[in-house]
Formats: sequence, structure tokens, C-alpha cells
Amino acid sequence: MESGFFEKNAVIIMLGSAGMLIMASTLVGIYLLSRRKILDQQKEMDISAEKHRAELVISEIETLENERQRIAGDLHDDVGMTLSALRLNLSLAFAQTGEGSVKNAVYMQCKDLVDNTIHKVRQISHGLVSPELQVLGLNAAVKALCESTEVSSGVHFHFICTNMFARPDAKTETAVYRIVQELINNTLKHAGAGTIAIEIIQKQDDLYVSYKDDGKGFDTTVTFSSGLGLLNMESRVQLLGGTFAIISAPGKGFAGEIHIPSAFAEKNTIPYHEDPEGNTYRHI
Amino acid sequence: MHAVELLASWLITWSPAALILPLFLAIRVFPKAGIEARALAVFVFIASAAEAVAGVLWYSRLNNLAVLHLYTILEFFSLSFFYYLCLPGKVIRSVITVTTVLFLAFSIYENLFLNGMRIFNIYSRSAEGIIVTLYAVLLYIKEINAMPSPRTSMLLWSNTGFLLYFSGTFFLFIFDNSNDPDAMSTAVYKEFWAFHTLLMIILYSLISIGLWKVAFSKKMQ
Repeated sequence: MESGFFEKNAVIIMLGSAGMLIMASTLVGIYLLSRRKILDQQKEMDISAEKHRAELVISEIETLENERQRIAGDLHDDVGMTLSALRLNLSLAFAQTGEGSVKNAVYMQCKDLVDNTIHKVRQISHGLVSPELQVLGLNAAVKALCESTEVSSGVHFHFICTNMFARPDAKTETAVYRIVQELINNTLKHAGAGTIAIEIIQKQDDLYVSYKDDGKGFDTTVTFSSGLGLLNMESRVQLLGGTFAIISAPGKGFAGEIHIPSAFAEKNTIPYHEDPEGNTYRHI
Repeated sequence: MHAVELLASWLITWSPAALILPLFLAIRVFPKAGIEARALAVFVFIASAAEAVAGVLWYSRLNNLAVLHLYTILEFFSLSFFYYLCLPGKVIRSVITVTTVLFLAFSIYENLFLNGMRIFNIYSRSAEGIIVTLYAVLLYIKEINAMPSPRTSMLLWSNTGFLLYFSGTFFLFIFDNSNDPDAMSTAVYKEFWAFHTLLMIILYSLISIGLWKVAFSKKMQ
């Protein structure tokens, strides 16, 4: 019997198997190409959806900030001015009635009430838009926030600002200020903490913010997913290309770390405010 | 000895070693993985057991084709179950069920009346080849939109193995003349079986990759 490929059925098997394998390989190739195309499209759609979400968050934050500014302006310009005028009129009335009058006690009470109201309106207005933040920058604003909160709440604050020789751009300052404000509010509302420690550090072009309290803490897996406040903070940081990490556990207090890269890059920074006498507000 | 013949002999002798890695992975995957990966592991267990028994009979110089006949049925059952799990839909699952029953009837008929237990079951092997090839094509169509995951990887790697093996060996089985001693020389026959062995090694290698993706993913699927 002759040996070789030309035996009975050998050619058919060889060609048939080769043909089937080529068809199968072609099918695998077509499948892989189509799949890559579909996955690329899916990725593009995901990127587009993520971009849209980011735009919505930016728009929401901008609207919120504008609204805060508008309300703060109205409070300061309208309500504040009216209250100031009322206080002046009360003082004039008090001066005209003379000492020892029975009405004096009522006038004094009214004056105290107006003073308190003016103080509260100013507090609300400053809470909505921090004048320190706009004029003096993040460092001064957070320091003022710590001081005022320490007085009103009785919680002890440790605030340190290290190596900050410039101001980041307004968006970064506002975002970080709002996050710190929100974190302090959370601590006061839920943590029952005795001490809050805040540190702001500039390392080259990057901004680091560390926030710690010695409160009762919480389970991050539960609270982070359900808490809108924490998610908003994370969104704010993500919009700046940064990261926001929290560490907490029941009974272990709370720690939050914010890192904003390139916050002090030359294109981003704004100079410290300088008054006509040449004094800068870098160190406060 | 001619180099090709030498390579063919080497492949045929050492091909069972290709089952070691998938067997190890199947043992690892079986207790925790999802049902599809388990079905694939069952296929590997059956193949390993059949290979072991056939090997023992071969070295005892006994005809081991009866093992192949039984293996063909069990292999088809395990693959049908695998594709039954992977291909959703009432119609397709009914088709798989009916096909499996018909295949069993056909295999028994071939073993009893057509070729007998002591010679090669070419019709069952060929039928199995074309049916599994069709299942593999259907699974590609079904999985084209699936997002990447260890499960998807496992399905796609193993499915590619089945497609290449069963489509590549279809002509080998259907035109096999080993039952006719005058049809083909031993040398050519050996070359063809070496080709079959090569496809089998590719199949087990691809199954190994698939099982590996599941075995070493964070969460077995």
C-alpha cells in the first residue's frame, strides 16, 4: 500500500479540517473585532455619561454658590441695612425719652433684640458666603470658621496651616472651604466630639487637607453610601481632579484626607490680597 | 524515523499531560465557582477519568474503544449541560434537551447495530462535532454584548477551545477509515491523530485559561 497524503480520504480530511479551522478562526476573529468595537462604544457612552454627570454636578454647585451669594447679599444689603436703621432710630428714641423713664427698659430690650438679630443675620450671611474666603483666602477663612465655631459650640479646635505661600484658584478654595464647613457641621450634629483638628498643607503644587475629630465615629460602608453630604464632598473633590478618603469606625472618631493635585500650579494660583500699604494677608 | 512522524508519536504519547493543569484548576474551581464553571469542571473530570482508564487499558494491551464510546456520550452530556446553562431561552434549551436525547439514542444505535463496541464510533463523534460547533457559534452570538468579567472570560476561552477542536476534528471523524484496514497507512493515520491530539492540547490549554480566570478572580463566578 502506498504511503502519503494521496491515500483514500486523506486529502478530504486534510482540506476539510483546514477549511473548518480557517472558518472557525475567522469566526473567532470577527467575533473579537465586533466585541472590541461594541466595548469601545460602551466605554465611550460611559465616558459621555460620566461627563454629563460631572457637568450636572458643576452646574448644581455653581447654582448653589450663586444662590448663597444672592441670599447673603440680600441679607447684608437689605435686612442688615434695615436693622441698622432700626437700631439707630431706637437709639435716637432712647436719647429723647431721657433717663429713668419706664419706657427706657422697653427701648433697651428692643435695642438688645435688634443687636442680636443683626449679629445673627451677619452670622448667617457669613455662613453663606465667607468674606474671609473671598478676600483673604482659604487659610484665613478656615481659621475664622474654627474660631467662630469654637465660641458657639464649645468644641475645641486645633488648626494648623503649613507651608502655604500662595492661594489656590477660587474654585478650589470654595470647594475645600465648603467641605471643611460640611465636615464641621457633621461633627457638631452627629459625632459629639470634644476636639476637631484641621491641617492644611501645601506640598509643592499639591494641596492636602486633613480633618480629624474624636467623636463617636460611624461605619463608613453604611454611612458613605447613604449619606448625601459625603457623596457631595467627594463629587466636589473629584471635579477638581482630587481624592477624598475617609477613615472611621464606631467609637473611633473620624478622619478625612483631601488631596487636590496641582492646586498651586502657576496657572491656578491667585496672589494674596495686598492692601495699599503693602501688607499682604499671607500670614494670619 | 521521519521528523514529522517522530513529532506525531511524541504528541500522541504525551498529550494526556495536557489535562493536568485543567484538572488542577477544575478541582480548585468546583467547590466555590458558579454553575457554568462547575459544568466545565465536570467536563474536565470526565475527560480526565476517560483518559486515565483508556491509558490503563492501552498499557494492558486491551481494546479501549468501549471507553471512548462511553466517553463520547458522557462528554456530549456534559457539554450539552454546559451550553444549556450558558445559552438562555426556552426554545434553545428545548432544542438542546431534545438533541441530547436524540444523540443518546443515536449513539446506542451506532454502538449496537452500526459499528459495535470494539471499533471507532465515527458517526457519534462526527454528530457531536457538528452539534457542539453550532452551540459554540450560538454562544459567541449570545456573548457579544457581555461586559468583561471572569465569567465572560471563562466562557469565551473555553468556547473558543470547543469551536476549534470540534470544527477542526469534524472531517477527521467523518472520513475516518480506521475501521477499514486497507484505507490508510499507519503513518498517515498517525499523522492525522497527531493533528487531533494537537487540537486537543489547544482545547485543554484554552479551557485552562478559562478556568484560571475564574479560579484566580477575586470572586469566583
